[in-house]
Amino acid sequence: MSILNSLGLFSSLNLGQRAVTSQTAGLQITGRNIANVNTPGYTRQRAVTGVTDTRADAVSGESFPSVQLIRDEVTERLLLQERGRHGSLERHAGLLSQVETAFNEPSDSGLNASMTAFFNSAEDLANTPESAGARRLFIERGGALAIAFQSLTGTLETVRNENVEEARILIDDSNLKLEQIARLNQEIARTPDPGNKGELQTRQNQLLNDLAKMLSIRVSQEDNGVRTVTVNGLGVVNGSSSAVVSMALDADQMMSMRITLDDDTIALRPTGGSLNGLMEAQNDTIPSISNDVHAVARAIVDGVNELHPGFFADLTDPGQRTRAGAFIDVQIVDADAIEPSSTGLSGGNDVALAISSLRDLAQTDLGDTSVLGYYRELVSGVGARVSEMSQRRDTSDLVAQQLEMRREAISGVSLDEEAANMIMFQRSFQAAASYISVVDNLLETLISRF
Amino acid sequence: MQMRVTFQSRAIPLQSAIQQRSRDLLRSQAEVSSGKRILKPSDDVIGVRHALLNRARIAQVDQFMGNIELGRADLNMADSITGQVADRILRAKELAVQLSDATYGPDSRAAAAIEVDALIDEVVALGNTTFRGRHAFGGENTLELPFTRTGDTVSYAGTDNGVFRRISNDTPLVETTFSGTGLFFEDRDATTNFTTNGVFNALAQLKQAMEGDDAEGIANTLSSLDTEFDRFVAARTDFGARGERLNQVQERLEEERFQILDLQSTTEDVDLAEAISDLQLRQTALQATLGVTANILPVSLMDLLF
Repeated sequence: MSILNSLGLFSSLNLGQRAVTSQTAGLQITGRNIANVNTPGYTRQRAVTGVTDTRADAVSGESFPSVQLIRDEVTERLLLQERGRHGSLERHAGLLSQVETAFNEPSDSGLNASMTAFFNSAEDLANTPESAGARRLFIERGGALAIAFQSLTGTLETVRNENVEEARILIDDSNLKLEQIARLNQEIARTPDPGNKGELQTRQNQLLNDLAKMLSIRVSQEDNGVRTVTVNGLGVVNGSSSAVVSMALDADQMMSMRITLDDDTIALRPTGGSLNGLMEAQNDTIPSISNDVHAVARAIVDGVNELHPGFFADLTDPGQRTRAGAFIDVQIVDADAIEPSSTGLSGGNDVALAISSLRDLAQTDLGDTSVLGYYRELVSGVGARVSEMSQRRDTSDLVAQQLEMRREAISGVSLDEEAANMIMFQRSFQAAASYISVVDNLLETLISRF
Repeated sequence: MQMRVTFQSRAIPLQSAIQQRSRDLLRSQAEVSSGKRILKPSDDVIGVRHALLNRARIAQVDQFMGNIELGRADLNMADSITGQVADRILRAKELAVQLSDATYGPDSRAAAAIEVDALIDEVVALGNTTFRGRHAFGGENTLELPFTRTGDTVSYAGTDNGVFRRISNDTPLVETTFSGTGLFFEDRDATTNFTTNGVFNALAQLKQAMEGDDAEGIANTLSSLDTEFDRFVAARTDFGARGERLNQVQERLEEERFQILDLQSTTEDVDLAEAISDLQLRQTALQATLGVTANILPVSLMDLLF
């Protein structure tokens, strides 16, 4: 009896209406997926149709049909991590290859050629010590060598300066993204509609992906969809509040940098991201290469000056270069001031010969190698660093791509699936509509015969 | 779980493949157009070390070859001067032999004395020869006139050591501007720099003997003239030996230069045939990838349904 009571025609009409709504909602979700087929970081949504309660008086599920986001948290986390690693390696490799280009080797115009030409000019001076031409050539080649050193260290310095600028831009960008992520958290917490929540989270995902390329981040999600973001254990987004990342330059001339939170109070040590790559290059790699170049310059300047006092001006310390002058320069301008001989005789050439021998002389300050040998190791070392870094970057690229594929396999939109779903919802809609029309016919029959 | 294939999961590997192929092609292009295998240090970490070493070594070897050319010119010059001096001594010897004969009278000897006097001047001039702006026999004092004649004595203003040149890393330096000491004379006075025991003294002695009409004295000078003559002939032999050493070193350097150039080419240059076929392969690979991309990507159920 009671069953018959509850199966009134009006409630059947109601049921039909619910079915139509449900299929329309499903179609809408399909539409959203199709619209985002090319959106990077989009997580596909699925309409979950629960058991439809056919009792008219029963409270039907509020979120019917409910929306489910299809994602695998582990993959997402690994992907963020790999994006950070890749960002770091890519930045570091990019900077290193800039440094590599600055060396301009092997070529006929790099430091190798300048050093050889300088030592050869000492040999020419030894051949004709009394000739003003040979002396002038010796001064000129010394000057050319100094300029070759200056242009190399100058480029390294420019790279360091640009790094600081770039770090500033990256930090500004990170702060903007952190702020936006926090604001989206606020909206996610507020919105009750799961479809809306998914939309907001997709936007947040994109921001997180971009942020992960700059800073190594970890993301955890609460039940209401709000995300907490940490960098190496320090919270940068907590609910609707975000921290401010800033940069501090060390006092030294190498322009080492530190990244801090909230105005230099807490040191932030990202383990990945382009900011990390930038910092590694700025604080370790480039200074170490600069120091090596400087060691070669020092060995030449000290060696030559010991044989020919005052030929080069005293060398300044690495990075101590001021705008006023170059760190290495020839001091002598007058050809008459060149002394090819210790005896002062016109044909004496012992000093010139000794300067020329410096090229092959093993020096303790250079680890018992010659200036040319040390320089060769340096160039080869830079090449090795570049090729190692590029290899690691390529590997990381591959790993990231694999993870991206896995993410796609889980969360990506397949147009084929969506097309099938669309037909399914279309047919279901048609069925529900026919049902309504049948119930309507029944009602009409009842009413007209009344 | 079976892997779902989505539009993106087809696009991602294709995009990265296109990028990879394009990079490969660019690399091939750079290699073929530059003809170089090593364009930057990271292209071949070991090779770049060789490239730098080869370049530095070739520059050094070229310098040594230049030094050797200069050294050879100096040696030839010195050889020619000593030859001419030897000729003058020979002439003096002829005169000495001729005029030690008792049949000659004082007039002939006086006339011969004038010739010997001229010979002394000639030898002084030869000793003062300048070659490429420097005195060939002044030792390290290349710009000051080495020999100055005062009456029958000749002073020497040069140094006792010559000037040395480096002709290779592993051979001793060679002397190419010479000292007058040991060649034109044995000793000199510490204060006046007047030379003793040398060609000038022997000639002066001959001249004085002729002026003094002293046949026996003239004959006595023959032995010292022989000594001087032998000294210059020995010097010429020595110059010849040094020239030979220069030749040997030069030959060795030329051989080394050739080897290094060969090595440099194998280290740095691309095998053009290989590079060009690589270029073509890579071009084909890129075209294939692009073709696949164009054909595969649009295929979807959507195309079939609607």
